[in-house]
Amino acid sequence: MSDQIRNIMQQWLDQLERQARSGTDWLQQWQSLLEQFPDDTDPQILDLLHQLTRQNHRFASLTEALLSQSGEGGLSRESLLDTYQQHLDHLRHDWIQSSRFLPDQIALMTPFISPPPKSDGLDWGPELLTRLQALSAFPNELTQRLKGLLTSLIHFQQCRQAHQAELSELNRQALEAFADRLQASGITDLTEAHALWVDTYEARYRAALDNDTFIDSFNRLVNSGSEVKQEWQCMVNLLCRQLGLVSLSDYDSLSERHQALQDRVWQLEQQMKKLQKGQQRDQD
Amino acid sequence: MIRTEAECLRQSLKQQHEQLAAASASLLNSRVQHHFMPHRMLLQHEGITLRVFEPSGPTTQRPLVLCYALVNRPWILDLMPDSSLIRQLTEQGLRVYLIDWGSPCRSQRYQGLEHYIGQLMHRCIQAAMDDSGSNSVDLAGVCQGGVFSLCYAALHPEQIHRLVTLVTPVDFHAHDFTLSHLYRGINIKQLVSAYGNVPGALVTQVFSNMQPMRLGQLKHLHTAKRLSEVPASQAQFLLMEQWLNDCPDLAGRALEQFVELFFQQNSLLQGEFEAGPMQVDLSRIEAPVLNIFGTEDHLVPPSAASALEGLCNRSGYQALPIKAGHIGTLMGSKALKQVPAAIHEWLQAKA
Repeated sequence: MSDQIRNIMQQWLDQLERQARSGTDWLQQWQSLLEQFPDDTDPQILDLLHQLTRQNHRFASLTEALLSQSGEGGLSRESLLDTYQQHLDHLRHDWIQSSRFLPDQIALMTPFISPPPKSDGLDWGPELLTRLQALSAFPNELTQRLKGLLTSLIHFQQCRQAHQAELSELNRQALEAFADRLQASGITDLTEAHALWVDTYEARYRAALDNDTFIDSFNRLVNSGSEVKQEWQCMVNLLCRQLGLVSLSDYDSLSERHQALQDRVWQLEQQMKKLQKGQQRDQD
Repeated sequence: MIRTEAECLRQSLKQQHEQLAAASASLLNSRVQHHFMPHRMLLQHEGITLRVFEPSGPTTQRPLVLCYALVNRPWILDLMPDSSLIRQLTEQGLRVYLIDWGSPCRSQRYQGLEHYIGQLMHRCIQAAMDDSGSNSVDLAGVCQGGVFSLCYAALHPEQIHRLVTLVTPVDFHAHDFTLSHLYRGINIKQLVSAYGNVPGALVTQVFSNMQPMRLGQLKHLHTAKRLSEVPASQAQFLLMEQWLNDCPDLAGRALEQFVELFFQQNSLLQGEFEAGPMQVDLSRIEAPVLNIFGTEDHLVPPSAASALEGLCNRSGYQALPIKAGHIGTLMGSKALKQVPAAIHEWLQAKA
């Protein structure tokens, strides 16, 4: 079992221990479950458990937050919506942090430099830029490349913040619509309320996908992410060349030539087949 | 008022923990691995595979070639014995040839559509004809594979007897084709230049982003409950999860051409286009077409799929709307009662 999964499970156990009020059967169950994890556990299963745990953890945190505010008579609509808003901020944070649209280089670094969502803005950019700038004492060509990379990173950070703002606005609108629907629905159960929320959010999200502003913002995020990756690769290629190594772009150039030759051979084979067929017909 | 009394919330938490524990224990003890139903390997070439599934009863002479998409893997068509389009087709007496495009390696990033359709697909169809002793095939394309099949039927009309398109987009600019909205503004040249082959995981995320809260949050929140209440559903659930995450990388050049030609330029509706040296004129399609699509498909909406009618000779066109989503149309229990029989009937019909 990976340390990551073990840590997640440990967090759960810690949390469950704190919450334990009605016996420890299920806690012991968890403990024995943890001990059962064989080292060769299927990565898919572990990934799934990670997902299940993360979502349940978020939902449990929501429940906990409500629990701490709840009086005997329940919770006011405003408090519920405020708490929900915080829950959504966490979900938004999860979404962005786990997003494949992050260039892999940044995705690798985010666990080390990302602040919790409450500090708002996922504002790791300046720190990262400062660190990279400190590395800029390189030969001229490399410095130029580094400059290109920094520019693309700044652009990516701007696009990401812009898309964050779009998502926040979407959350706000969805939450308003949710509040209205909740009022009218007469729902009294938290799970049902959550299902209503998902339904409401998806409807708003579908509407956003029809909206040019939202789509543009999403496209800019993806495009700026690939720009960072491209700049990064250019820098790696340059380093490879300086060290006398074959770069990925050298390898790609070779692949391109190989593909062109392969296509040419195919064309010639097809022409030959046609000629042979023609000859066969003439002979017949 | 939401019931947020402390005791009620504690009960809810406890129940959630118990379900998670039960589902986790059960998941950890499970080993699920997909296996195709018995078949022959007819061709393996440049990473692609052509499998042959023999009919269980009397057979028709003409082979049915199934062309899957480059996105995801074709084993969804034979997920489990009781969720298998291929099995049902063989039970109808059809010999099925399945094209699996495999996963391109970095050196294959310059393979374009002309390579996939003009060379690899052509090689598969020739192999199927040679194997069956037939001089033509029936061709069925799934989603992007349906687009490939339309192109192939236009390039080699003499080889295609009948054509079936399943959940295939044709009008990429249909107003409710959300996936197309997402793709249209992406700088695909830059994306391909940055990645070489575009990672399958990135493509998977685009799909799940179509319903982020439902697929990204709610699904995992409900999974523990579902698995703890219906343990029998676990194998299918895990196989589906495996399939959803089994998304091969996409050859850069082919993806770039596909996005530019279809998502951005909507070339299928224009009828004529070029992909590298490959020139496609859809008016050359002679085969009658059966167009199967899901009325609740949020990936390829009915409006995008049903536009095929406008490209076909009306007398040779038939539509079969299925009350299902994208995947449900291919392997849902209700769809499997309709689709295989309808395909068989369509293929056996006199011209």
